[in-house]
Amino acid sequence: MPDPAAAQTPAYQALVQVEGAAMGAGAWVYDQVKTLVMGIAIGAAMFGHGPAPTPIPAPVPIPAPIPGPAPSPAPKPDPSPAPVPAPVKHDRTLTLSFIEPDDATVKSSAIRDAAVGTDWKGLDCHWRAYGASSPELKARKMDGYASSRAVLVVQEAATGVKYDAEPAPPAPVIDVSNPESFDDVMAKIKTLRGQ
Amino acid sequence: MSQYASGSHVTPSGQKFLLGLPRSSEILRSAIPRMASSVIPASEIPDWDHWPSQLKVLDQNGYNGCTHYSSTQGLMFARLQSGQPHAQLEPLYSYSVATGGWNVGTSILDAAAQIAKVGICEVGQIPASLANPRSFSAKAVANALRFRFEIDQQLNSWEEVQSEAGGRRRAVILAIQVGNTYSNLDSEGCMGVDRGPGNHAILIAGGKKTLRNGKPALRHCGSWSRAWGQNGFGWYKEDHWNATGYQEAYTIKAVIEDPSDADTPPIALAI
Repeated sequence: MPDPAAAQTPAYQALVQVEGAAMGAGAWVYDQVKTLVMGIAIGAAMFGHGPAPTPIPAPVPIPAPIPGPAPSPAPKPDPSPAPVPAPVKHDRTLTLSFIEPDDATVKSSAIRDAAVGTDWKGLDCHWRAYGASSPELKARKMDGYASSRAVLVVQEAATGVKYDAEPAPPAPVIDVSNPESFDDVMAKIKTLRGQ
Repeated sequence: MSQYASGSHVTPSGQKFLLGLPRSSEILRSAIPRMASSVIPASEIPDWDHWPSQLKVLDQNGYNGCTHYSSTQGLMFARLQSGQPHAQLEPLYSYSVATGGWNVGTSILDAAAQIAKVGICEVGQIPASLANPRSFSAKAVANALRFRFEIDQQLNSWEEVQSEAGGRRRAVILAIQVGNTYSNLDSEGCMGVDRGPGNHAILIAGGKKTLRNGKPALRHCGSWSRAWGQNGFGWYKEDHWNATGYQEAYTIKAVIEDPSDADTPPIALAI
């Protein structure tokens, strides 16, 4: 038996083929060739660097089609500040309902007082101040907004509605906040107006 | 003459006003809750002074209806504070309804109960005089129902009055003793202090200031025309509360929304 390692080499495999091809040739020639080829095979097994025969190209399986690369993204623009989304502009009549807890504070009372005399019509706004336990609050379906802090609930008239219609049509709430001062109230109006 | 009149008061300018304020009945008083809100400490109440320019000083013009005049002014003040548009109201409407047209005076809570029930009509809806309420037109009656308030709570100490009128800036109606010195305002605008039972109903609203002695005073809008006091106004202080034989004070907090007002706010639809 040949050395198992040598038997695995391409040279040994070639020897087997030569051995078969030499059948019928002279015994001397056969022995010389055999000796030469075995030497090469053993050397290849020992050092692993023997000249290998040119391998017969095996049929290469056809690879499954690889998905093509994603379309290359459009060239990125030069880095610049991300655009700030424009604030939603509410340009219809606003109704501001200021809801104080029954334990109104000095601050919330000052807001209520500052609202008196403000030109609400000029701002296209309507203003109401309610105590948390006011029956009017419930009638407007706003009692759920009452809390331990003063709350400003802003409603905007629906599109195409003439505000002064009687009774005033229901209007969606567009903002709820806790103003600390009358300046906060005015700032809120400006923000909602997109100013 | 009023069954309640306990005398009259002549101002330095010569105006004469009937006095006589019956105490509200215990039955009515028991229906009004005591102040449930926390008392705001005096040290946390800043000075402020804001009497709405729309509100004119009223003039009882000899009628013994101080409760209705002070309550009417209080209602107009509270309407503005709630954001409702100004309406000039006629105190003689509810006074006539309450007394059947007689100048006999009413208690503070009698007046409040009438105003909560029948309201106060606008000026011009009825003649500007006491009258039999049966003579009032249906239009005037309907008009009055648009302007009503609710008395929310009774106040039982100076600290509570100061907290509500000064700290929370609400209208307070209370009883005060008016005696010989009442109309002699001092250099800081405070009425004279007379000791005795409450014989006059007044409105406290619109401001708080610190006197030179460091003590607070609250703005009082009178109902004896601009000829009285400082253009109709004076300042009320703790001494007045303590000198009044019995105290009776109430806050106006809730104002009934006027259903036929084009300014009525809409129903809220949730976000």
